[in-house]
Amino acid sequence: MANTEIPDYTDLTCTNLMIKLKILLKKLPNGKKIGFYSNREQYDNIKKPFDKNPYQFQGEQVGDNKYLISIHKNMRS
Amino acid sequence: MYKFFFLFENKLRPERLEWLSLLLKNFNIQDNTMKRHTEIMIFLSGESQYSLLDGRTRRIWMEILKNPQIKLYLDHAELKILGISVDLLRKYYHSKININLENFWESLIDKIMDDKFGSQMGVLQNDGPYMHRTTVYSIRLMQAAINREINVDYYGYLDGVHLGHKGQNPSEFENISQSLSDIKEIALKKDLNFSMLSCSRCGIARGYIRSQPTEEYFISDDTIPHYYFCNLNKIIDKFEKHHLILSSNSAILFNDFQGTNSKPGLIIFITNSPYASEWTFGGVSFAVASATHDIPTQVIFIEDGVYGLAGIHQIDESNKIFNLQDILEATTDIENLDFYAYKPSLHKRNIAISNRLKNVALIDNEDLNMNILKNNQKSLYHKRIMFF
Repeated sequence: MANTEIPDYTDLTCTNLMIKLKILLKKLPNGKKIGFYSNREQYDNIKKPFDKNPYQFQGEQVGDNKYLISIHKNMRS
Repeated sequence: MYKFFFLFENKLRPERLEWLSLLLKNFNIQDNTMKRHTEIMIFLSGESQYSLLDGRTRRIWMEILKNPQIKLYLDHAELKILGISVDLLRKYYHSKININLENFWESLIDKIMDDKFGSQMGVLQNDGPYMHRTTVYSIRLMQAAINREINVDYYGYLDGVHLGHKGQNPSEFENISQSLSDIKEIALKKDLNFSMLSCSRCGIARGYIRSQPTEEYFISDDTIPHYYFCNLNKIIDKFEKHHLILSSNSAILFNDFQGTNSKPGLIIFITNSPYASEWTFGGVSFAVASATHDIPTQVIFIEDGVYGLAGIHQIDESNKIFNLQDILEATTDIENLDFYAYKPSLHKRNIAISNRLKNVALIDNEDLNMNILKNNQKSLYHKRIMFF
């Protein structure tokens, strides 16, 4: 996936991001993943709720206050 | 002893008084069954007081006030402004009403403040100044608290963030930002804390914050000194604590458990239709944030709030709004968050709840009573109830 296609959610508040991710992940087929950019506060906020079954959470710092996040939805959820 | 406190500042429609009447009746029945005594205090200010005269609601008040456990307190200063005759009210309600000729807000604090709350209270404000007189009442409440040597937190949410806008200069009305600054000055002189925190999401939407904040608490170029914006989570942090928090239309249920270790539960009544204003999204968003802080949170769709549950909302990216039904569906797995729909409100509007909303439980009067009373944690001392 090219960088330009990765959505940037850094402007969303933590609660709005949480809601947005819940909606996206609910619609996501099992075995697929979503990727997006977040800021540090969002990263801290979403790491815990999205790092448990049925999800796998990965975050990589790519800037001063920017993280590339990937959330994978397991095959069996 | 149980205590149930209500504060209403906006118009009270027959529908609200009808379900409130049934709720309070159920309390009375439970009290008799459980040999328990509940003291119920209802404080009315502003336009909610019209309901005492209004032919559509007066009979409901008469019914409510038959219960000797219920005490009704009226705001004399506002009655005068509205031209509501005290003599007429006394003729209708006799000794059932308490009209405090002194300071309504100070007497409210005297009645409700308790050692359990410490010397701290919070005020959540969702309306903006001038368009809504609830801003004046919040100012009065905070002034009264400072007069009573209580530390105060102001929480600005939705249009409530506008209270701190600098440069306000109304020709006829009380200058709300000046009143906030005056409260701050008096608090400083008294060595009391008066903090003003507003939701950054609401602030960004309304143009107060135009660059990515780099600090947790920050001041906008457009607001008065000491008026901070922060992530909603920072405001919810305050809701984890045990102090009294009121908003323009709110209630507090006190119970007789003495411990204060658990986080006070939160009930949010969604009373507005879903998309015409920010009330519903604001309320649900607040509830999601609250639940993710492990605060037991119940959201009850009632009155016009049930419109959000009917039909299938077809909303795409171009509409630029969150689909309420998507939110409800997607947040099923959040612990501490429960959604309910009040059946009589659906019936009144001739609508049914959408089949897709499997996680929204239908409740009737008795269930409503049980939900409000439900105590998730035995050491809980009080529960907060807020109307959105």
